[in-house]
Amino acid sequence: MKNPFKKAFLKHKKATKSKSIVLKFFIIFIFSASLFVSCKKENNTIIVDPTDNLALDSIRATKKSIIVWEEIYITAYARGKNLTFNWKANHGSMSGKDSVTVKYWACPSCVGLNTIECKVSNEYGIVSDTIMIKVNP
Amino acid sequence: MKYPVVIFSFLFVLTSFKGIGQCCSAGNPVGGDGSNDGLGKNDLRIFASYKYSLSRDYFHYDDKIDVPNMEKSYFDFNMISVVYGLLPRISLYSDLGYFIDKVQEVKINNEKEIIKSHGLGDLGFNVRYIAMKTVKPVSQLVFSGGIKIPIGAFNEEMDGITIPISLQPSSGAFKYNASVFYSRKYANRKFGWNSLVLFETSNTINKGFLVYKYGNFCQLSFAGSYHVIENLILTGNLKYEWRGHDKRESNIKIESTGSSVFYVNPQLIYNLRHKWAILLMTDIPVYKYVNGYQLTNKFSFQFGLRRSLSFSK
Repeated sequence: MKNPFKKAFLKHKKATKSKSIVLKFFIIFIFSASLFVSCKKENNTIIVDPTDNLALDSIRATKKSIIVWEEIYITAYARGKNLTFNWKANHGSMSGKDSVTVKYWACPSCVGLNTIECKVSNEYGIVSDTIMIKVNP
Repeated sequence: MKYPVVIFSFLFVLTSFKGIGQCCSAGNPVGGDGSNDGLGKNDLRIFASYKYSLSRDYFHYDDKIDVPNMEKSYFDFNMISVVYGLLPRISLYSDLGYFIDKVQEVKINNEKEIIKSHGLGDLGFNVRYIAMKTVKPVSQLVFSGGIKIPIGAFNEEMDGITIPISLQPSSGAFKYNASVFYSRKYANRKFGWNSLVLFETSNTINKGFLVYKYGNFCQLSFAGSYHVIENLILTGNLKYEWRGHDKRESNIKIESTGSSVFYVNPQLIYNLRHKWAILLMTDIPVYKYVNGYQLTNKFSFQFGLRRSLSFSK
């Protein structure tokens, strides 16, 4: 003789198991869908730091205090594409073909605290910075 | 026979001096046809010239010193000047120059660096007033005042680098000058002499972080001329030039600027037909005292063509 309670218990257990499987599938589906949607969104919109378009982070010199005729190198650390560099000094001479780094020296009439300016430009605009170099006799 | 002797002597003088003198500086070199006289009403004189200058020696006070970094500095310069007699006593003068090149060669850490520029220099404009004029003897006393306008190139670049101020074709500054000129020719018209006193001052360049004022400039000269033959005039000119210290921001005096120089400035003028003339002149610095350490001139020469016209009826 079959136990009616046991039969009902087994039936309930089976139903609960199938519900649990459905729930698991549902959760996995929701998770996958949300992951898919979020990934797709990320591919469409690239968030860029505006300074990456054009930025002049710093100008650094190998030495900031020199004597007459001593040569130093001055480098502009800039970010952006298609950059053009323009250098200007109130006193002293410079040379350099690649423009990112220039050679600086000064003759006797350039003794003093001199200003060197670098202007970096591209299609987004112009940024500039200066560095001071002391030329001693 | 006189001809080749005179020309040979001139060339000898030109090449035999061990000269020192002005170095490369911004703006037009002192030029013109060597004359500062006034013209009669409706008279016109045009002078076109070419000048070459080479600077090589470094000086400390009046001593030549060895600076291995500096190789040489030179320029090739063309100029045109016009004088026009507006009124019987007033003449207008104007000049404009163009640097074919202005070059400095230096050796930095055994690497040769060449910096060069070219372009239009300053525009000069003067009014000359004939204060006194006599016919016998032929003499003139002329007062003159004028301005040099920096219309030329002052932002010349090379490989994206602005060239130093001393190598820019234009001085970048307005300059004002005043002068007194006296000339006298003796009755036989073979001998003559003239004298000039000139003073020039400059305003301050104030462009961004460049603040610069050229030192005041003064020139005294005395010249004697002699008609060797009918068409050939030989002029011996003694010239003294003084230049004060340049100044930078906060009125700081730049020690290695300013000088006192004595020049011998021989000139040959050969008059051609139809009031054309050929001029050959040179600036030979015979003594120079510089403040601090400065590059000085080895020699410079100039030749030009002059045409005189008269529109008087």
